[in-house]
Amino acid sequence: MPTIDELDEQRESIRYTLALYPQRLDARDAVGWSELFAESGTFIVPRGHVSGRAAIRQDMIDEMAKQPSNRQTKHLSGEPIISINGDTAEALTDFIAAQRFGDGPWEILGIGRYEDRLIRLDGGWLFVENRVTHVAHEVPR
Amino acid sequence: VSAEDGVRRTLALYAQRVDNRDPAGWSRLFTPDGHFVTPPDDFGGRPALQEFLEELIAGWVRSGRRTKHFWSNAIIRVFDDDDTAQVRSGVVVYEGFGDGPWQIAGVNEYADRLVKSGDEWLFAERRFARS
Repeated sequence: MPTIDELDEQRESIRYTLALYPQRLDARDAVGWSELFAESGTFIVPRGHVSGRAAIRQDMIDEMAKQPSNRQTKHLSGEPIISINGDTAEALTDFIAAQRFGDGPWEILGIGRYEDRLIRLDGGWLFVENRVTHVAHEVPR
Repeated sequence: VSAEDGVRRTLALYAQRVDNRDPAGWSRLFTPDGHFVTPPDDFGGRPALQEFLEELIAGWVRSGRRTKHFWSNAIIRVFDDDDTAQVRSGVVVYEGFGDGPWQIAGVNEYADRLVKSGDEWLFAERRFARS
């Protein structure tokens, strides 16, 4: 059984991965962002599923290329609910995404939840699956 | 799980269960005789708490309202001698109606008392402090 200190350390390490994800997206760092996925990881968004780190990276490069160059985004995450089981973990994290164009006003782009499965590899935690759901698309009943 | 992490987890579950529209799961985050105080109202006990949220959600469904509660800036004080904690935290509530845009519905502050029950931290009292 891991000690409380060991679990807290792993939880903190998972939080680090969860925090890097939006920061790299907002920095338009598709390469760095894709490196947060395991080699066989899966990225699931309302527009579809992408599997494999290389495919995930290319998908995000393509998505970013479609956006106007003056678009800025900021993804903010809420407190994650993390469950650790050995070298695997699950995390549920709410998020808000805001965007603006040039010096225009910020607007709320989307609000939703990340449903993640992670794996510990080489001391760090990587996404095996990152599922992004938007409340507007899937209003709970 | 450290006491602070356990308390944070309960704060996160509270927000997610409201937005998941899970009144029963939400009421179980309170002790059996726990209170949710929004002056002048004071809802005590899990059945009354569950009914309160059920009625609230029924209104949301009628109006096509969607919500997201975002808790932040939690200041947590744990009292090890009796396994209790006090929390002061803020929440921003986002809402949208139908296919309309998201907007900020409110910004509120809460004062909480929690107690440890087994592996969980539960609200003995959650009190609306100010908006």
